[in-house]
Amino acid sequence: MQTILKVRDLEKVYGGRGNVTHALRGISFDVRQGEYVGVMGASGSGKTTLLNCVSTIDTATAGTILIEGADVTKLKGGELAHFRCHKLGFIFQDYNLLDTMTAFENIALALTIAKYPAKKTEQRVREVAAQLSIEDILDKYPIQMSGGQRQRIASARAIVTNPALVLADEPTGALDSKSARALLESFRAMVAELQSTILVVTHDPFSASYCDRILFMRDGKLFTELVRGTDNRKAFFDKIIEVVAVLGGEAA
Amino acid sequence: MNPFTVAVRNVRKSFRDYGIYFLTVMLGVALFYIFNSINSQNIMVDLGRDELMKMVGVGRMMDTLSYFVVTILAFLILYANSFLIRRRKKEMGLYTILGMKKRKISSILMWETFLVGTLSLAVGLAIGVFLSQGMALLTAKIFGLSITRFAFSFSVDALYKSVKYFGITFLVVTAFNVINLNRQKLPELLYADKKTTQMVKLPLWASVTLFILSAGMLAAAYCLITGAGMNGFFEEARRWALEASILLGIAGTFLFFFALSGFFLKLISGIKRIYWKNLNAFTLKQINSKIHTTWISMSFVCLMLFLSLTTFSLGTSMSIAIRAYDVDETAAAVGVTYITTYIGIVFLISCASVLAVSQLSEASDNQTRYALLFKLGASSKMLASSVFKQNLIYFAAPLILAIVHAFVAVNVLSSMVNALATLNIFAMCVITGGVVVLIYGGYFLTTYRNARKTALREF
Repeated sequence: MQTILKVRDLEKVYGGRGNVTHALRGISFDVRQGEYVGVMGASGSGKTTLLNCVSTIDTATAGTILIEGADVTKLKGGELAHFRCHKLGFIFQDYNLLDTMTAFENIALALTIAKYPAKKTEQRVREVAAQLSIEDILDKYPIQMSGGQRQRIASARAIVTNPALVLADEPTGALDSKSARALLESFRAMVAELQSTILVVTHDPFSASYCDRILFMRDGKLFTELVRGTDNRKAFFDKIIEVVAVLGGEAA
Repeated sequence: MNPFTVAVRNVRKSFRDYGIYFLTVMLGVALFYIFNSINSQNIMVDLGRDELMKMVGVGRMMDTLSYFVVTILAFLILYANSFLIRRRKKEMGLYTILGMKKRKISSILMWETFLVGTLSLAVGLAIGVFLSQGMALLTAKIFGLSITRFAFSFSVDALYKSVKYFGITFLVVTAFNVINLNRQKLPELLYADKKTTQMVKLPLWASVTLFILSAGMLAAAYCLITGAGMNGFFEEARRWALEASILLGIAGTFLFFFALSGFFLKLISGIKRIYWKNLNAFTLKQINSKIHTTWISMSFVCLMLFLSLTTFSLGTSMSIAIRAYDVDETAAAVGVTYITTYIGIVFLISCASVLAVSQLSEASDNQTRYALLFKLGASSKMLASSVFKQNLIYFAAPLILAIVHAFVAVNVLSSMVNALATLNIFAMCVITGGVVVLIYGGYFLTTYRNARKTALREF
C-alpha cells in the first residue's frame, strides 16, 4: 500500500525568551493508504498539537510532514487553503456543523469550497449519504438531529471530497456509548469499503480499539506503538489498557 | 480593585465593541450641537433685521424639534447599548461567580457608561463646534451672501442643551443597565452566548405567495396616491384614498420584509449553478436567517429612510424654489433647508446605526462559523467576499425599497410645490444622493470592514 502520510523529526516549540514549551520533540511515523490509525496520550502529551500540525492549522517549528508526497510545512496562505479543501477531511469533537444549513447543505459545503462542479454537487452528496446510510436525515437541520446523527453528517462532509487523509479529533467525545459504537462502525466501513485513510486522536481506549494501529505519545515523543494484527477487538482493547496503565493511567 | 480602575480597563480592552456605540453617540451629539447653534452663527450678521427675526423663528422651531430629535437619538443609544450589554453578560456572570457583589458590578457598569458617555460627548461637541464653522460658510456660499467678517463662533446655549439632553440619556442608559443586570439570574448571565435559536420556518410557497401579495399591496398604494394626487390632502372626498394608500404602504412594507428572505432563497436555490458555487449557499442562508430574525427592524428602517429621503429632497428643492421665486425670502429658504436637512440626516444616521449595530452584534457568533469554513479550506478571499455580500444586501434592501417609496412620494408632493415654483428635480436628486452615499455608504463600509476583521481575526 502507498504511504499517505510521512512525518519526520517533527518538532513544535511554543513561547520564547526563557519560557519555552516543547510540545513535540522529534516525532516520526508513517500512515499507509487505507489505514485507521489512532493517537493516544495523556493531556499535555502533544497529541492535539500533532494533529494541528498535520492538519496545517498550526505550523511546525522543525521537521517535515509529507502528505501524498507534498511537504505541507512549506505551503503558504492560498496554497494551504487549497490543500486543505482537496486533500484533507476534518471531523471535530463538537461536530461543527453550521446551524443555519440543512445536513445536505452542510455536506455540500465542503464540495463548494473545493470548487466542485455545481452541476454534479447534489449527485455526489447523495452518493456519500447512501454509503453512510444517512439519506433519511439529509433535510434536517443540526438542531433537529441527535449527536450521533450530527457526527455522521460531519463524517460525510469529511469524506465527500475524497480526501487523501481524514483527521478526527476526539470524534466520540460528545457521544453516548451507543452512538459512539455506531460511529466507530461507520469509520471501519469507510476504511474497508471506501479505502479512506483515518488519523484519529483520542484518549478513550474503547474508541481506540477500533483502530488498526495506535501510536502512544508521552512528553512530545512517541512512547510506543501497538498493532492490532489478527487480534479481535476485545483482545486489542485489553492490550491498550495495559499500555495506558504503563503510561501512567492518565490517558484513560 | 476599585470599580473605577476596572471600568477604565474594560473600556480600553473592549474598545472595538464600544466602537459603534461611540460613533453613534458622537455623531448624534455633533449633529445636535450644529443645528442648535445656528442662532449664534456669524452668517446671521449679514441678514437684514427682518430676516434676523425670521431666523430667530427658525431657532425656536429648532428648539421644539430638538425634543423630538433627542428622543429618537435616545432610543438609538439605548438600542446600541442593549447589544453591548448582551455581549458582556458572560463577563458579568464571571464577576458574580468569583464573588463580586452585585453592587460593585453595578458601579463598574455605571463608571463604564459614564466614561464612554463623557468621552463621546466631548469628542462629539468638538466635532460639532468645528463643523458648525464650516456650516456657516457653506450656507453663505449656497445663498450667495457675502461674509463681511468671519469669526470663530461658539454657542454656549447649544453646548448647555447638548450636555443636558445627552446627560439625561446616559442616566437612563445607566439605570437601564443596572436594572437589567439585577434582574438576571446567574445561569442566564453565564450562558448568554449559548442561545439556541429555533427557526420557525415558513414553507417556501407561503413566503412566495406573501411576497407577491406585498408587492401587490405596494403597487396599489402607489396607484392610489398618484391618482389622488395632492388633492387628497385638501378634498374630503379624496382623503380616503390618501389614508388607504398610507396604510397599504406601511402594511406592504412590513409584509415585504417578512416574506423577502424566503422568496429570495427560493429564487436562488432553484438555480443550482449559482447556489452550489463558492460560498453562495452559506451566504444566502446567513442572509436568510438574518432577515428572518430582524424583519421588523428592517421594516422600520425602510420607513424611516423613506421619510428621510423625502424630507431631504423636498426641503432642498423647496428652498431653491423659494429663493428663485423671491430673493428677499433668503432667510425662509435657509430655515427650510436647515430644518429638513436636520431631520433628514438624523433619520439617516439612526437607520444606518440600527443596521450597523444589529450586524456587528452577531460578529462573535459568526466568528465560529468563519473559523470552521477556514478549517474546511475556504480562502480568506472567499470569506471576505461572503461578508461583503451579507452586509451589502442587508444595507441595500431597505434603501432600495425606500428609494422607490420616496420616488413616488416626491413625485406627488412636487406637483403641489410646482404650482408655486418650478422645482429643480435634478439638483434635488444629486444633493440627496450625495448625502446618502456619504453617510449611509460610510456606515456600510465601516460595518463591513469591522465585520471582516472579526471574521478573519484568527487567521
